Amino acid sequence: MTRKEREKLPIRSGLRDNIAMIKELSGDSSDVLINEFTTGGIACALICCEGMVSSQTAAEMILTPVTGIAPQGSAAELFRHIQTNLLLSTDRPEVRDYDTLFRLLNSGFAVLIADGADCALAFGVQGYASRGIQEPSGEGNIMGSHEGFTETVRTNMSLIRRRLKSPELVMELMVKGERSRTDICLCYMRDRVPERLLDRIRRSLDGIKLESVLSTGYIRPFLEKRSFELFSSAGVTERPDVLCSKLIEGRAAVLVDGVPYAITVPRLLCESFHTLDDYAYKPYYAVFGRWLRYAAFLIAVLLPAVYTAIVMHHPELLNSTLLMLLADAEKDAPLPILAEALIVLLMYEMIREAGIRLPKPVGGAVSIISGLIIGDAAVKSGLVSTPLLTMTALAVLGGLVVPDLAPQVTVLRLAFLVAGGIMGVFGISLLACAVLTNVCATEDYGFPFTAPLSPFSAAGTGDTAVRLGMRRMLRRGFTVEAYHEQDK
Amino acid sequence: MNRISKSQLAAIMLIGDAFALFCLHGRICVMTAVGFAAGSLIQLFLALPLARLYDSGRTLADCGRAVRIALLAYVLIWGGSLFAMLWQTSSVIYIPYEGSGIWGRLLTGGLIAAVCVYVSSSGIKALARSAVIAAGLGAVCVAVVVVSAGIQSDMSNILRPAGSDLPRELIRGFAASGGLGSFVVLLGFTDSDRTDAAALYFTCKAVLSFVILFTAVMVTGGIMDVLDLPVASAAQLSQPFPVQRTDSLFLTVFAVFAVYTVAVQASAAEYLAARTFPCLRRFRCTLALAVMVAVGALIGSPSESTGIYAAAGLAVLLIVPAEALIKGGIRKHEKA
Repeated sequence: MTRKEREKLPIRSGLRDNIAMIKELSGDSSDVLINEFTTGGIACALICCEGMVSSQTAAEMILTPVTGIAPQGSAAELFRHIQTNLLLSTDRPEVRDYDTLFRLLNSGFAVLIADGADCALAFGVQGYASRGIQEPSGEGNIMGSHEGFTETVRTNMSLIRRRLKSPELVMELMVKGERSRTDICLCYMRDRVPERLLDRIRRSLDGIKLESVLSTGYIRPFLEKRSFELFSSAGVTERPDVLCSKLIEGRAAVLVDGVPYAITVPRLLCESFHTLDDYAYKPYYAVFGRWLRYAAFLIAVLLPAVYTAIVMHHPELLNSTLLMLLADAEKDAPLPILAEALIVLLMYEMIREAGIRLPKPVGGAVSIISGLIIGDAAVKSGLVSTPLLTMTALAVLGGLVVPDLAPQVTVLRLAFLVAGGIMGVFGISLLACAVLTNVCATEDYGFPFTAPLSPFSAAGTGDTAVRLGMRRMLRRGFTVEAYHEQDK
Repeated sequence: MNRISKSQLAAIMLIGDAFALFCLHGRICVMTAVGFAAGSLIQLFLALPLARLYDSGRTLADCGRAVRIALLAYVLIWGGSLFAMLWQTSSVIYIPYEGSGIWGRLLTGGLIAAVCVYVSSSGIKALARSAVIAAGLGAVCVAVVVVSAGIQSDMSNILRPAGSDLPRELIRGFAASGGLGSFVVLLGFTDSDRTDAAALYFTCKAVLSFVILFTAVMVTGGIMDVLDLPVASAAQLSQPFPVQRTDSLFLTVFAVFAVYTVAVQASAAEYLAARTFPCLRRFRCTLALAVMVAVGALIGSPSESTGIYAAAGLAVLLIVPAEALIKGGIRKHEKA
C-alpha cells in the first residue's frame, strides 16, 4: 500500500494502532507531539504539532477540562460528552481519516484520539508565530487605512469581514497544493458578482494541480488565459480596503495562506491608475492625479525611445535652440545614443535589482554608489550625456508613479528604445501597433482588459477619464458586469 | 463570439480610407472632395442590399465558391495596392533605411507585414478594439493637422480652376475605396443592425474624405502642379508651430494606419481563404500577406488604373446580393 493510500485510510479504533500509524505516516517527526493520558476511564492521546498550537490555550481549553471528565462507558460516549457538554474550541471538526487528521494537525489543530473510537476530535487552538498587521509596503496611501494583508489567511479574511459586514459577503475556503496543502479563500459579494464569472473562477481553481502554492504567482496563471499577454488580467492588492471596493464592484478575490496579497478577477487596465486616495480628495484633484499617472506611464515607456529616435533619425523635429543644445551635449559622447541609452537603462535596472535583493542596511550604500559615484562619474567622464541621463531619469520616475505596471514598463521601455533607435518614429509606431493589439486582445472571463476605453462604455468613463463626485458615483450603481462583452 | 460593434466596424474601415487618402496620387481640387464625399453616399446606397441580406440571416458562408474566390482575389489585389501606395508615399516621408533601394523598401514592407501577421492573428475582436483606439489617436492628429492647416490655408485655392469634373472625381473616389472587399466580410461580423452600421460607416467616410481633401486643397492648392502626393504634402506643410515641425505626428499616424489597413485586408483574406480553401489549415494570414507583398511589387497603385479599380470596387458591393438574387430566381424557376 502506498503512502497516499495509507493516508486515506479511516482512523483505527485502537489507541496503540492509531499512535503507531501516526508515527509511521509522520516519519516519527520530532515536532509531532503525542500526549497520552486517561480520562473518563478511557486511554486517550492529544496530538499536536509543536509551534503550531498555543500551549497555553491547549492546556486551558482542552487538557484541563478534558482530564476532569467523570468515567464514561465507551469512547463514543466520551466524545459525545465532550461535544455536547464542553465548549473547548469554536472550531472543532470530527476527523475520520488520517489525511484530514494530518491536514488539521499541520494547520494548528490539536487532535484528540481515544481507545475504541473510530474517529477523532480536532480543536482549533492555533498559536503559530505570524507577522502582525502592518502598513502595506507598496500601494502607499495618505488618507485611507494603514492596514495591509498579512501572511495568515484567517487574519486576512477577518480584515475583509471587518470592512464588509454584509451577509452577502461569502468566503469559500479550499485547499490547494498536494504537498503544501495551502488554504485558499475565494471571496465575493453574492449579490454583486456575476454567477458565470464565479462558476468559471471555480472551474479555474479546480484545475489547479500543483505540489505547492507558495505565492500568488502559482495561482494567477490558472486564472488567466494561456495565450501570451503582456499585461496580467488578474490583479493583485495588499490592501483590504482596496479589495473591499473591488468586491463591491462585483469582482471576486482569492486569498492565499502565507501570502500578504489577494488576487482580484477580473482586472482592467484602468485599475492600475486608480488609488484609494482618488476617492478621498475632491474630484478635480483626483482627476488631475489620474491624468498625471496616465502621462507618467506614457513618459515611462516612450520618453527614452522618442528622444533617441528624434536625435538619431528626426533632428528636424527639434527647434533650433534645442537642437544646438543637444548637439553640444552629444558631440563628446563616445557611444551611439542608442547604446548610451541602453547602458543607462540597464544600469538602472541592475541598481534597482540590487536595492531589492540586498539586505536593507546595504541598500543605502547602493543608492550612494549608483547616484553619486556611477551617475556623476559617467557624466563627468563624458560616457553619458546629461540630456540623455535626464530623459532616462524622468522615464524611470514616471515608471515609479505606476508601480502596478512596473514589469511591463521595464520591458516595454527597452523594446521601444530599440525600435526607436533603429527605425525612428516609424519603428516606435509599428511596435505600438503590436503592443496595442496585445493589450486589446487581453480578455479573461469575457471582460476586455481595455474597457471602458475600447470597447467604449460612456458609463465607465465616470471613474476612469474623470472621477465623478461621490453622490453621482453611488447613483450609477456600477458593477464590473457592465463591461462584460457578451452581455452587449 | 467574434462580433464587432458598428462603431468598431466604422473605425476599422475609416482607418483604411484615411490611409488611402494619405496616399492619394495626382492633382486634387474642391471637386475631388465633393466627388469623394458623393461617391461615399452612392456606395451607401449600393451597400444597402448587402446589409439587408446579412440582416435576414445570410452569411458569406452561404455564398458560392466563385463569389468567395472573387472577393478573396479583390482583397489580395487591394492589399497589394496598399503596399504599392505605401512605397510610393514613403518617398515624401522619412522612414529610416527606406531610401536605400529595393532592400530598404522590402525592409519597410516586411516590418509592416510582420506586425500585420501579429495583429491579424490576434483575432478580429482585438483588431477592432485596437483599431478604435488607433482611430481615436488618428482623429486627434488629423484634427491638429486640419486646425494648423486652417490657419495657414489660402481660401483663394478653393476657386482655382480645377480642370476636373464630378464624374471623373467620382470614379477616383470609387477607385480609392478598395477597402470595400473587407467591408463585405466585416459587415457580417457586426452584432447590431447592419443597415445602421453601413449608414454610420459611409456617412463618416463622406465627412472624413471631404474634410481631409478640402483641407489639402486649401493648403496645397497653389503648388498642386508640382506635388505628387497632395494630402501627405499638405500634412507636412501645415505646421502648427513656427519653430517646431510636427511631421512625426503624421509619420506616426501614417505607420499606424498602414498597419491596420493591411491587417484588415489580411484578416479578411484569411477568413475568405479558410472558407474557400479548407485544405489551407495553417499560415493563411502569412500566406495572404506574402501574396499581397508580391502583388504590390508587381502592380502599381490604383491611380494608374482608376477605372478598373472603381468598377471592381462597385462590383464587390453588389456581388453577394446579385448571387442571392440569381440563386433565388433559379429556385423559384425550379419550383415552378
